[in-house]
Amino acid sequence: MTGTPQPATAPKAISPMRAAMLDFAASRLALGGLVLVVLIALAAIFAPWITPQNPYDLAQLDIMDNNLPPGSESWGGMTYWLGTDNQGRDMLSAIVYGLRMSLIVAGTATLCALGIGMAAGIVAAYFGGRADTLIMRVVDLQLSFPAILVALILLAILGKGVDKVIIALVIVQWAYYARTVRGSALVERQRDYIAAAQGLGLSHARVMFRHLLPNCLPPLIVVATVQIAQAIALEATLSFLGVGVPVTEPSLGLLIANGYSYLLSGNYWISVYPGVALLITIVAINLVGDQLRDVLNPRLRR
Amino acid sequence: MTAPLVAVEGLSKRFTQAQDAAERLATRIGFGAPPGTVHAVDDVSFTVAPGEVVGLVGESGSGKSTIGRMIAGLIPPSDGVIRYDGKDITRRSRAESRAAALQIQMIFQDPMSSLNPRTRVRDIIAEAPLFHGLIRASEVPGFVDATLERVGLDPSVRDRYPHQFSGGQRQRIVIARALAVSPRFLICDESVAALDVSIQAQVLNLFMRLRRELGLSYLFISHDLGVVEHISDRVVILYLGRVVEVAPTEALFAGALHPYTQALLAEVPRLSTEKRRFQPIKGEIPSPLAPPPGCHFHTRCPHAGPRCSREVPRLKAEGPRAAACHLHDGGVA
Amino acid sequence: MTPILDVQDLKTHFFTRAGVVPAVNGVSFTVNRGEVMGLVGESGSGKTVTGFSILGLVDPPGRIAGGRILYKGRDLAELREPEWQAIRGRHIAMIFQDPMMTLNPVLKISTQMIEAVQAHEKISREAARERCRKALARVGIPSPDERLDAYPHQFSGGMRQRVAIAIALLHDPDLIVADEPTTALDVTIQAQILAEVQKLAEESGTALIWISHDLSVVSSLADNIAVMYAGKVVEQGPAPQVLDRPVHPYTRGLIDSIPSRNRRGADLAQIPGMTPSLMHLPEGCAFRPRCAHATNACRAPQEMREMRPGQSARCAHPLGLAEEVPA
Repeated sequence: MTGTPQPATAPKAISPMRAAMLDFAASRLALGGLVLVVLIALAAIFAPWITPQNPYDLAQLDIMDNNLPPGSESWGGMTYWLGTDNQGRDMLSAIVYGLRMSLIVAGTATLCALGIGMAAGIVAAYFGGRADTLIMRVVDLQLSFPAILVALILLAILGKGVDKVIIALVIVQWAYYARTVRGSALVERQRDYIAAAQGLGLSHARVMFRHLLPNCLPPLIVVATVQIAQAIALEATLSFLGVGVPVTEPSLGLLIANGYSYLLSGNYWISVYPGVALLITIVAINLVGDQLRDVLNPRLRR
Repeated sequence: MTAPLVAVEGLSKRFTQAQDAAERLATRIGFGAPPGTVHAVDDVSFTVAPGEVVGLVGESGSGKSTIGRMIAGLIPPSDGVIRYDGKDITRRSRAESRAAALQIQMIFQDPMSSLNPRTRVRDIIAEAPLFHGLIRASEVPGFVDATLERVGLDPSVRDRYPHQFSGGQRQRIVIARALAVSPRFLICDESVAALDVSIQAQVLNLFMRLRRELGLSYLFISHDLGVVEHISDRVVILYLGRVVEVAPTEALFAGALHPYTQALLAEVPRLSTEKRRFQPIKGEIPSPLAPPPGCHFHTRCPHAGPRCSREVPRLKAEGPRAAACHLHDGGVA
Repeated sequence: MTPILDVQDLKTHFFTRAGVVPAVNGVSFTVNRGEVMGLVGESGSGKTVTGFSILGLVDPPGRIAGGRILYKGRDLAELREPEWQAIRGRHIAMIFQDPMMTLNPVLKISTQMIEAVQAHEKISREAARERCRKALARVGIPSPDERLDAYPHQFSGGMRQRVAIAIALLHDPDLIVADEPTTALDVTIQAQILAEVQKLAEESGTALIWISHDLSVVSSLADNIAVMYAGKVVEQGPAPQVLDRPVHPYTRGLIDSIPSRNRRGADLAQIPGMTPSLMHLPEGCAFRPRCAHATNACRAPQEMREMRPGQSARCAHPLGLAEEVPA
């Protein structure tokens, strides 16, 4: 009797992604990190609704309220839970808005860099030969310069502004994604299902983006998670140095910079609290990234 | 005599070790060794008639997989011509040769890596026919079900992912994917080597059934002589990139002409009810980078003579059989 | 004569997040001095895990969950790692399918072999080197003195496996467990290795457990055969008897699926269905869903019973016997 219909070994259709998510949830630390990241993101999205004050609206600020320690009361009966800075901004509101700015800048830059880097890396790995050499030499060149240096030079050329900062971050970061994707794409390229797709007459574009790329995603996701944290840190540094976001719409970095000069005179809250917020954000993102890396790696070799 | 479906003429493939800039410079000056060349496939010719199964047999370094991949269009040949239905498809540059090439499909060895782990079965099967306009989107569900049934799988598995299937089932899905584009010629590259014996029997039966039902032709690449004997009409034996013998299956297994084939047949473990003594041929398979001069096999051949290290034997045909050995072509002296 | 190895009701289970996988679930057999035992099965049968259990090489989440492995009267299942060091490599050795599991790619062969010798015996480097040279010559490696100073990558696959066999033989062990050592090798090289192994087993009186899925290879080497399915031995006995007149339908099915046993071009006799998932075994006989002779009696757990002198099987409807064994 040939060809008896046979049931598959597992009862349900679990996609590889779902299986990975279940594995992820096994680590409480990572889950905690994920919860934190989600909370931070939500806070950033709903900033206008949850903060007592809009620190970017100069009309709401009272310069007389500057440098108040945490817990002080304002004229209008509002409590400055984390004090105010030298402009009279409520620190709590400023931190939440600052987080929002940092996340928007870093998130946008990472997404754009991811897109460009993925495309470049996949094309390099798929075609090999001269395309590969060309793209990878550009990547190597890019990566041999310290990120800060490149960013500073770019911003000196481009000028100030949130969009310029994003552009600078994209240019700094795309090479890293390109290299990562190319690494795993070179391996996946050798597998038989790619040869089969080519044998079936599918176009190069289709094979690259429908077959090769999805199977190179896991290490990319891990790198992207960590790189968001890097982007946040980089933007904070740039803002700290004064070439980042404008003074009127501070990110966490700028807040830290503002308060820097006041540290020694005892008004620690202007620098320290934004610093703590930055720290917590980066740690939470890294926790998620670490667990993702552990979870997604063995899955690759299923 | 019917025109062959697939004809391979003088096919060769050479791999040169790539040198980096420093090595190239050294070679220019005269220091370094010139890049090694592996003659993976050396002047191979054979045909496959419509409806025929040709077994391609060889050990490591024989070039059998390379030949399969060249016919499938995955590796460009260094020399030679590949014809399908009379058309020259050696360089897949023209759309016409590509369209013809769609009728040649390859079934790979490793069922684990021949399926995209992130694609559902129904998309695996329907993707290529949709892409080429062979079916319409509305026809997909019926098409997928029919194809799954043809390979002996229950259509209810269409939404599952590859990792949920066993090795034998995955191989069936690979076959289904190939059948979806209505091929006429299948290249089976060690397609049952990775399967357990009982599953191997199922998949081999499937191959034979498809051949009867769809009139397919096969190039069955394998190192397993037992399997090749069972499924093939004719057998081509390779050693280090060259054809050493060609014969109809029954004739070959009744009595081989070439000493290598004879040794191969003698050494294949067969199920016996008593312990048997192995009398293997001596020596290792030579490295493809430095094959012996003249007849590649002469270093291990019990009948070798002076001529064998000087002169490459030609493939001499005698009726449906052919052998590349001086023993049958004027002697080894 | 006390058997070298007496495996009694061995159970090795893997305790995974998804559940307990009873990879080896009640395996018993004995191997006497100088005998070759062929342990045959397909993927998932538990044959490799059995081999690893005998050498204490099962890693977590797996562990020996029951039974005894008596080596010269001592229970190996009870041993702790320090006690294993004295036995592994010295009295019981293993050969793996991939010789690179034995060989370190960055060390010369001489370094590795001498280390293996000196791990168990206090002899000088020169004496150890001489022993290694003799071992290499014994397995048929030409110019052993030069080859000793080579690295693994300078050997071909077949040669590497010979080196691995030589290492296994260094201390003249009582027992060698070989897990599919020739599966990855070419036919002509496989024949060479098998010829060597045959010769060595006869000369040295070492007992050999040859684990394989290839019945043909096992048939030419083994004195006794044990066929495994879904973690249990389903049939065992002297090789000629089991292969010529198998009693268990699975054994019969395995033999019949071999292409050379079928008429050329005809459909191969095949066993329908697939091996069950070890976590969802059918009740009673694990082979029941695929067996053409199954009845309700097969839903009861089957024990190993002697069907003919020396040949036992786990089946309610054994083949070829005049009387039906009552359920």
